[in-house]
Amino acid sequence: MNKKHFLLIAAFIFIPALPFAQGVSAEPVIDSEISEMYLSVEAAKSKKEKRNLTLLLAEKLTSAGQYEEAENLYKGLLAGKPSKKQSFEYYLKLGDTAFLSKNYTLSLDYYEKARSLYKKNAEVNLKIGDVLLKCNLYNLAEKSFTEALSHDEDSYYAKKRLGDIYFEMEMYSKAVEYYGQIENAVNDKQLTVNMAVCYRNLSETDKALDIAKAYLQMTPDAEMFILSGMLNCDKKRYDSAEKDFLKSIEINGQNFMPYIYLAGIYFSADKYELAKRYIDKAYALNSSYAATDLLNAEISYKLGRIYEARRYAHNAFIKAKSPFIKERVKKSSGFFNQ
Amino acid sequence: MILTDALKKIIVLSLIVFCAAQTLSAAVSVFDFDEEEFAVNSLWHRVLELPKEKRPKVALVLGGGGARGFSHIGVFKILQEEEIPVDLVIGASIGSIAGAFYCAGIPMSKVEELAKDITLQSVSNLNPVSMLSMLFSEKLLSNEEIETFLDENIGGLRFDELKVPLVCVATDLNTGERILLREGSVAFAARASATLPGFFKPVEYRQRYLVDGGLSENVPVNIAKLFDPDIIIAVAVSADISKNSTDNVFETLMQSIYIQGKALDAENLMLADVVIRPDVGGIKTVDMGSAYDTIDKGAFAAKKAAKQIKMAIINKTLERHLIE
Repeated sequence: MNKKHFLLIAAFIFIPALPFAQGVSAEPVIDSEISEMYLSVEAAKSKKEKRNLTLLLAEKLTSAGQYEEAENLYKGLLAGKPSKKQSFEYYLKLGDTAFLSKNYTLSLDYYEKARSLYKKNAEVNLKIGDVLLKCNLYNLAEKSFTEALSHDEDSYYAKKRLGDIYFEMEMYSKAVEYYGQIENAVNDKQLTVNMAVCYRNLSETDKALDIAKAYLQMTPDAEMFILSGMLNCDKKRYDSAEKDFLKSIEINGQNFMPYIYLAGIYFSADKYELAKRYIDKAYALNSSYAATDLLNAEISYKLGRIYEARRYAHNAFIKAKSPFIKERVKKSSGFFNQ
Repeated sequence: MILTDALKKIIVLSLIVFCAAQTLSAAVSVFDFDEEEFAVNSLWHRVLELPKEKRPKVALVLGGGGARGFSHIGVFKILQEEEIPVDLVIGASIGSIAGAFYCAGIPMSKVEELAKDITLQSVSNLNPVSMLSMLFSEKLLSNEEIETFLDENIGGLRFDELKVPLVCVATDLNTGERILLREGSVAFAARASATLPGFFKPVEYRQRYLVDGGLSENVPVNIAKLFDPDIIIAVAVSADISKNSTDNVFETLMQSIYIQGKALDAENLMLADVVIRPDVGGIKTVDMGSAYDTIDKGAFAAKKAAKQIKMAIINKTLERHLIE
């Protein structure tokens, strides 16, 4: 397993967290509810009541994905000579709305206006950082999160995001420095995976394993067992890796990955019958990879089933995508056909 | 702060790139199986079990670059960690010094400690008196201390006593020939290979005056070819000429050497199977204080290249050795 693989695992958990700025989310709302709210705003008796109802309505519209209408309402509130604090709030809301409508430039513009009102506010710096991160502007995002952390040194979100930024920039020492500051990081699957990736890339696989183990002690998780198994393979602790993969199968028997890894371990240990059993199971769950066919061909050859070996090698040839696998398949086929 | 137009443009451009990247990554499913990685790992396991004569011969070429060459230590650390075999080392300049330590079997943790304490003064007779002497009587500095330092730390070994064969490349100052040093004292050869011309006195060797191997072959892949290895891994630690300072005479002279050697380096690197390029181009040749960071950069680059090296070795291994 290499960094790329780890990154894929990390991306799986990391990416879903990115699409929304901190505290911003969208959910479907019934149109009639919105119509009623418009009527309530119209019927409001006082300025204060109208403002509060408008805010509620704008939030509903945002939740319903009607960003333009929400934006107009916030702009209307801004035009009504609000206080500095209120203006700050409206600019933040406008920024959130623009963020959700994926207009990141506009979103950043509004957040910057909010920040110009309260420079030392941690929340606005976090939001700006999120937009910049969304735009892959890591260096600028880093500055914003660092700024946020300077105003709120306990900010879980700022530490996590700084860790994520350094992780993405492959600055693993700095990433673990920030991840390590997060309290109860061991409860968080995303953090656990990211930290394991960092330690593995820093040639500290044992630390990566410790983190995975700590997580697994609290939460038995099929994917985390796969990760632990891969790390044990890195350290050539095949007995431990075998146990991890078997536990992963116990929890979720439908993922083909632990089966193929087990087949590889048994093949290396010259346990060809056992390897065949697991590679066949992996194949039954997912037959799209050339590597599965290639290993199956080699196992079949070892079991003296030469025609089967040729057939799997042929299948691998059809499925092979990467130049390395193609080269391997070509050479194996040549060998089996001798 | 209100957004500038320039920043807005950057964001728009980033979004275009980001969206393209998202489209690409969408094809990769969650917790995807990296079949190439899996294949490499399982085959690598078999390569490691092969006796030496059944696996390809690997030559490691270590380029010159002064303090940037500390990254060779990081490269060695990773090669050892990943159990990548090295059957021959060819070094130029600092590459010869790093190679001498590795080939002598000195643990890289010890070499790392030595590197962190090293200064220009500790490997030459650089001091105010020698500098004045250099300026007013054009007397060059001596790098004899490098030889003493190496001899002390590798136990005065000769080439035939090394655990891994080593070739140190030097340059004949009078003819421009590449001189391959592979017999006698290792420390002497490594010193000759790392004798910066115009700064250090040339080293006398069999009626020749030898200077830095980097002058004629800074990344001597050409030399490695002479020994007919199956795989050549080259480590390039050349200066990034766009980042190099030309503020003084020394730096300007160094820049001239880099410019002249750039084309040859590129030609040489084309001949290597795998090139490891630590991100050290911006580090000055004499910046001994950057050892810690430079070693890490070497390790990082080697870690990134490890899979490619393994693939190259697997591909050069006979199929019957891998399967039977």
